Amino acid sequence: MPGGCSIDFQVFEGFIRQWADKAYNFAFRLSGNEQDARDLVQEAFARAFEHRDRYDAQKPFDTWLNSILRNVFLDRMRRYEHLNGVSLDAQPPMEDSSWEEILPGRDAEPIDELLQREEEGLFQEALAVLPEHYRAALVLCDIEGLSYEQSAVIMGCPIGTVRSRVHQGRLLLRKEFEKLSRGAIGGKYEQRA
Amino acid sequence: MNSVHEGSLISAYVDGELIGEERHLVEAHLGACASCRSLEERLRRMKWALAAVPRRKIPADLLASLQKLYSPRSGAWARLKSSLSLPRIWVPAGAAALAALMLGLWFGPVRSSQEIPLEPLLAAHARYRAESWVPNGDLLAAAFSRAVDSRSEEERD
Repeated sequence: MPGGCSIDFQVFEGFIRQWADKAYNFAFRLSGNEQDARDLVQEAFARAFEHRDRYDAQKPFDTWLNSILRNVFLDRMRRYEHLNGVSLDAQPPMEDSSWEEILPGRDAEPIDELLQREEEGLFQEALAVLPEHYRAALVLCDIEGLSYEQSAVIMGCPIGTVRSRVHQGRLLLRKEFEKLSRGAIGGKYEQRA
Repeated sequence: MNSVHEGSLISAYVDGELIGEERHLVEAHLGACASCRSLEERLRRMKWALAAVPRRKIPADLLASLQKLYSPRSGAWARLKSSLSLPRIWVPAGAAALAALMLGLWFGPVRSSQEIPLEPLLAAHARYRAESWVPNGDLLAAAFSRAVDSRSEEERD
């Protein structure tokens, strides 16, 4: 196989040490909970080891591992949807929806403020509402700080698609976050009253 | 090329993903359009906020179990699993064995219950011997003929 390489146990153990945190963070942001994140990471490493002869040593291991991890996640999502007859993906936004309709005015910046106040739970909740391909694009580009090119490899799509998903994902995330934060703030006031 | 107003170009600009003509186009547009400058500012703040979201570290017990599983010293189970799964011969081998078993079960009883009847064979052999121009002792099946004759005599007795 061109570019394929043989990884022995010692090398693989080194990869685990180096990339386990990153894989876990990606898994956690995709799945939204610890138990699923643990399962995803274990299965991704197991598949990576099983198919280690397909790994191209010229490319970063974490990109390859995270593409496996995302495929494992998608497989599980599809299986769940098939078994339960439901769709876990929210409706995607209209392609021609204007950012002006979605983004609020200059005075309201709840996502920045709430994130600064470490409202991570709300953020994760908002992220979980997004369709998977927007969620993955945001996690890879904004949280993990990967380039569009690296994200495209992991997501198995063209760079232009990543660009579009990142943008739409940001708009959607902001909308969901505001919806949730309004509810959360309302809830706090109700509790006080 | 997309309109700058559409927004994804501004997102890409904020991400440092534009070069050449696209970058110049967006910069020129931002210089002239206040609403797009406002969008750029908000997207940039959002990007910073997302970059600051705390990173989850892998739980220590999970990391330890992964390291143990794939350790060169104690990775016996993983090596066994790997050696079983990599050649990928067990699935077709198992399927072939199952098919052979099924065939055996299917045809085995049929063959035993439908044994070739002896009488037509004996009749054909007797006819062949009677009609042959070759002396019976020189027939290729002479030994068989003698065996048949002696068995017939035993049954009559």
